Amino acid sequence: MTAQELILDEAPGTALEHPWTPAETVRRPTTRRFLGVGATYVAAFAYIVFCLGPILFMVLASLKTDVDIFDPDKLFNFQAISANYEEVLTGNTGAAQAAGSYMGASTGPKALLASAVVTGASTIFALVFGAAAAYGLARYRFKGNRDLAFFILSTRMAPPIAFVVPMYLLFKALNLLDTYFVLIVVYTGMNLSFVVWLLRGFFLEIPIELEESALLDGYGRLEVFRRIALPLAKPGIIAAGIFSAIFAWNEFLFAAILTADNVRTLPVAITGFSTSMGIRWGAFMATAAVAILPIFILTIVLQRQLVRGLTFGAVK
Amino acid sequence: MATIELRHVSKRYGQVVAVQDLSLTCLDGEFFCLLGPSGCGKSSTMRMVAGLETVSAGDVLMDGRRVNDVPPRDRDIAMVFENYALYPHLSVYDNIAMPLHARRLSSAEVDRRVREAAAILSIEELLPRGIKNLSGGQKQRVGIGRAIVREPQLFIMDEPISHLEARLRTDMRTELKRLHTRLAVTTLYVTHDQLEAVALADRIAVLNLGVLQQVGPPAELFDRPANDFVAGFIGSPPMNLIPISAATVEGDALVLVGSQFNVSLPRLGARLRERLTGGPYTLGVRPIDVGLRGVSPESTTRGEIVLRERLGDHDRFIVDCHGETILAEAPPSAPGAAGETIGLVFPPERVHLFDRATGRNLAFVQDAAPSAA
Repeated sequence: MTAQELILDEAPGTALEHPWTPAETVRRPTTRRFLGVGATYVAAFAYIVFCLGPILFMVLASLKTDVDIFDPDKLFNFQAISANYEEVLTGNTGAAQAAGSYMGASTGPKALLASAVVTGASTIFALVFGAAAAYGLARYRFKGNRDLAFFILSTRMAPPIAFVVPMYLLFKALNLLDTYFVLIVVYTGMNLSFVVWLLRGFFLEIPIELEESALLDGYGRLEVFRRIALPLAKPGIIAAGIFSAIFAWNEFLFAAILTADNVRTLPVAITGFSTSMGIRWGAFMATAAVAILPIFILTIVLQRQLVRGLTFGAVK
Repeated sequence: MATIELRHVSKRYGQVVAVQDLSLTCLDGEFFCLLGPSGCGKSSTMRMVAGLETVSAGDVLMDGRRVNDVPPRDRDIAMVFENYALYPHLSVYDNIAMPLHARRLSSAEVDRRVREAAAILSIEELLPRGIKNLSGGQKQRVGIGRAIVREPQLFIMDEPISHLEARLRTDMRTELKRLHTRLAVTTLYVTHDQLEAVALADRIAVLNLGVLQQVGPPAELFDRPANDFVAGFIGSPPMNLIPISAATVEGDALVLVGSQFNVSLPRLGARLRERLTGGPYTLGVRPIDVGLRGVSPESTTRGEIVLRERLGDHDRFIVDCHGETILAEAPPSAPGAAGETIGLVFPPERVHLFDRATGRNLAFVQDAAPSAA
């Protein structure tokens, strides 16, 4: 037996002398880790079912007739129809009228347009004014800079419902109720504080030397803002934009109070399916599905920027 | 190219005085260094010249024109930053082209000049790349490229190589000097590293606590420091600074009374008689100037060698002289080993005597006018 073999032979022997053999010390954590991973997957799956289940039911219901929706045998096995979506998207209520379930006009297309206009305009305004204000707060030293920043944040501290009545009276006096303008102004105002605070953080994170360098390179303040600060704060701008859009798209309270027939956004229109004659589930679910879609797509497409935007890190 | 002149310039941040009554002139085509420890006001001075900081008092002039209120973009100054300050969202090419786009040059002209600048710095192959994955040395080359592409009136370099590793720093230093020789553009170079300043500058302005200490060519600052601060800051290893409580003139010799020992310096008595202030003083002598002799009757100052370091071309002696540690440098052939007693000689013409209260160098008082531009 050579010395080398001797050493090799010794290994199992020494292992036996100890109660915690190498084999055991490896196996036990593996089993535990397996259980741990399994439990994580089970929990994650349960959570996904919990979250997406209602959405699945909504989508399924939107493809059924109102009769089929309440037939348990036809939960998955049913004759899909497009009438509900036609009503939402084109305003064609022919099918409902033929079935005698609904005699009124469709609110769908008008609500889609209203939501799109209000959301688009308020988001753009919030970003334009918010980015400019955030840059000013981040880069200019002036008296009361911090107080102003805090004031902007504080506008978010009171519950929005506290402003409903004053705003209603204010816009009534200005004769602006039930217009696109009123919702755009209110949503822009409500989103500004968030946009300003998020972007201020981004602008503060950009090394000042980058902007000083551009100033010396021959650019003015506005050009520095446009060519250096804005591109570097892009993840923040995208995140702020998505959040502003989601807020405006989903907002119900102010839309319900400040507007009526003329400008009716999707969240308000959806409540309209609960009528004195009963709930029109098919059209209701189709409208809700259409309402979810744009935010769903936006978030999926901009996912990566959204994460970067919320975890900060404008410049590595 | 331009002459830069500061006239009684001050910078205050609230109660804090960053720069105090600074006057100096940076000549056309000169490589001028602002040198000092952190917080000495060199950066504030540089930023006032660049226009990135307002001037609290005094005037900044470029070619005789007052530019206090001229915005940075109109000063035609190119700057190289300590942390490179490259635009992370642009390629190397676009980074270098930025100053040219600001001037609305034709794209053919932009292309020609970007490639020319890249060729000077041998970074042509980097042009299409993004800047995120460049090394520190490459980034600073791009930064320098962005500065030289404009052919500006003045270069400002703010510690451009202090973030680089030691070897690269030496290479870049040589390259900066070569670049300056080639382009001959007035350069204002800010650094805390005296070696960098001495190696690069035509003239150096030493600042401390916002006050100008001395302006002059490196050799002058080295040989005739205006005060104890400059003496201690310039030179490596630093000058020996030995506390002296009193000085008397005996014949033509100057006798210095230290806490532990006396030093007699022949010939200096006559020269310094008029300038003695009554003390206390600080005796300054550079390690390279300390003479080491065998012990003899005439070697009045003696010390024990604590350590002898061999550094190749010369040896460094750490000598304990009656409790005072004195550093000396001598050729490898010099006598003496650790533990031995040795005689120390301070050559009178290489010795500095600083008034402790004011810090002024009494040995070279003719050059000791701190605020002279």
